Amino acid sequence: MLKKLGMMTTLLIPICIAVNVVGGYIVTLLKLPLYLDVIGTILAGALTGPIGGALVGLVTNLITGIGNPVLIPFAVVNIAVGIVAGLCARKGWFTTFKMTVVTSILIWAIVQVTAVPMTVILFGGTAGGGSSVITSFFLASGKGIWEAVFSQSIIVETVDKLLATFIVYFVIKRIPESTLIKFNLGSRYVEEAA
Amino acid sequence: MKALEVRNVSYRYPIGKSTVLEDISLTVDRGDFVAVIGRNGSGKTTLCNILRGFIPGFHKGKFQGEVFVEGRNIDEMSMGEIAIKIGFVFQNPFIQVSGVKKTVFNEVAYGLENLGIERDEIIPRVTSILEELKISELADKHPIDLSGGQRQRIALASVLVMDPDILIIDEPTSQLDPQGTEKVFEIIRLLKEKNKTIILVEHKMDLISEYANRVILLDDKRIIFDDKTENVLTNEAVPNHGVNLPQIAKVGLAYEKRTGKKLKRIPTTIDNAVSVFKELLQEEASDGRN
Amino acid sequence: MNRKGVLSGLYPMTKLTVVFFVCLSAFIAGDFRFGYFVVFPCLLILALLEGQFVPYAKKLVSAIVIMFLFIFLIKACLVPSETVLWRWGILKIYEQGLADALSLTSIILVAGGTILLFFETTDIEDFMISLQKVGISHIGSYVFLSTLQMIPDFIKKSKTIMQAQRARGIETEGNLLVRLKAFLPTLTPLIISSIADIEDKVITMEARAFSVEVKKTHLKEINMASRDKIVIGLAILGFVLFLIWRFIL
Repeated sequence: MLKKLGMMTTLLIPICIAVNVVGGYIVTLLKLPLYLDVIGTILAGALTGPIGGALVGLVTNLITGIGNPVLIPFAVVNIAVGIVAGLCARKGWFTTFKMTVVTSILIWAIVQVTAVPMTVILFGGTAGGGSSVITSFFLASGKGIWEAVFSQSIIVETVDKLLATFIVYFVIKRIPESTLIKFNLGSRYVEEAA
Repeated sequence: MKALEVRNVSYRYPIGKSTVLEDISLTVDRGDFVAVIGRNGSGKTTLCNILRGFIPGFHKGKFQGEVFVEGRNIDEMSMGEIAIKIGFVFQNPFIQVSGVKKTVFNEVAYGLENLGIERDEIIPRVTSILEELKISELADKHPIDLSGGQRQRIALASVLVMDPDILIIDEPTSQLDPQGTEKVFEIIRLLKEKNKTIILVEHKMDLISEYANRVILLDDKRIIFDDKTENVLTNEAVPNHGVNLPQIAKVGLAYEKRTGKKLKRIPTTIDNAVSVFKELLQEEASDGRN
Repeated sequence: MNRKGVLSGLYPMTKLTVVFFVCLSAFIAGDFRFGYFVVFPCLLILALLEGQFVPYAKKLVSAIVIMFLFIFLIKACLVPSETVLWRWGILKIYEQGLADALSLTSIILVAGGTILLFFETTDIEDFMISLQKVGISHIGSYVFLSTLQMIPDFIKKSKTIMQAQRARGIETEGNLLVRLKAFLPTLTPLIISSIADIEDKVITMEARAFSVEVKKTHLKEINMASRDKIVIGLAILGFVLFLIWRFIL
């Protein structure tokens, strides 16, 4: 499968995985109440399509899973983000600011659709992060488990995923055109600029 | 026998507005040591990529013409055949690592693993190339911990271990300090002794004049000069194309100009210079006696 | 992995087979005691024998402790069910919730604990070679190994960039917006420069015969030994006995 995608994608994937991890790392250095750990997944989707995006999502969680296996099942969320980003990119929805708004909403939506059931069914409502305090708060105030996890997810994911998508939008603008056109979906961004 | 042949090649990069090379033809014989010179942007790196098949194989854009490797059209050759025939090393020593190996020994072995060579053969081949290139002491180090000069030698070793007959070396020393440069050229000298076919892009004219037996000067999308080293590097038209002559040649030319006397030849290497000036001094001494 | 313990000496696929069977057993055990009192002590003993006890325990604790606390809090205290087991002021523990929490955490403990021990005692490169031997593409192995070298490199570079940004007067401390603004100039140069290098990297890899279509060989020799076959045999036998105990007896 990777062979068909070509060498540019093969070599982009490790970079994007590292971007996911380092994004999460810088966030902790700057003490930001965000994750920003799917920037690489979205970028891979945007430049190479759904398969590249999905692969980055999968391998990211396999690699972070080496140190914390609990993260491995959440690969599903990361893969879904990559697929949605890739499909949007195929339609050219990363090329303008307006369309990127649509893309960011779709990415946000797919995170809700995948992460919430995963958290509730597989882990009983918590994946162990600090945001579980919010879930607990909603539960204590009498809400049901689904409602509580969903509310928590909206609070912590919304700004995060919108921001991640727009970071990718700005990054693509700064990649040299000669490099950009070598990626499977790269010519979309060059035509737009021309 | 012809090692490489380029017939009527023109090329334009996909984003570029104009062609980089126009109607280039050249042949390189087996055992030739060809230096390619020219100002920045004159298409030297492009030529290297064409000779290795990266253009039009990897860099798309508008390509015309044909390239032959030992008489075979490069289009008909597989990736593996090209990799074994032509070694390729370029400027940036920090990019030319696989990024997956933890020791220099393993790094150098990587190409052979990719070629499917058996382990029993890989070990002696890597060991001997490391010895030949005098980098055995780096064998157990992590490639990331090495200096630019060391990395460039590892990059050369990683390619040479596959024993290609032809080597394309694109500005191997432009990012190195003098000591690193010297060590890289020691390796190039070794390759010359082994009678490899070498195409070298380089800015350091003193080194070119010592090593190359032929020089190709590129400018304005074309080959301006393609001749024996001593003919090109003594030509006073060369500086018009954004390239300096070797210091020694400049001395010779200045001598002729200022004294009005003709030297037996314009020196391009230190050895020539010594013999030219020795003769000159002997002549003058005998003139003085007369 | 400096000291070669019993586990480190096993073939990666052998260990993976055992991990698989143990996890499967935990799923069908239907009893939290299997995870907590059988598998967990075994894992700790194995880690101890391997000389990896401290790093293993540390990683395991940081991966699961907070999560387990929240699972118990949410399942046993916050989601109401019929029988209240224990009550103290407003704090209640529900019987069904506690049982659910125990069985869920026991499965997570087994899955997380075994996988973590697998990686603690397996050289990733060995693992990749063994995967290639069962037919996974060398490209997949390249992606994995290359990422593992790239991550620490990126982290180092991001620290350097952040220091440089600070020197140029970009604030990295202060209110939320200020810190958020520092995020972009730290991450984007790293992304852009790495992407710009890809083309040269492709050429490097091709010069090393990466895309040549032959069966790749490996300098490092790892093979299944007879002890691997014994371990796999024991794992299967153990699993069958477990099934008999669980469903027939």
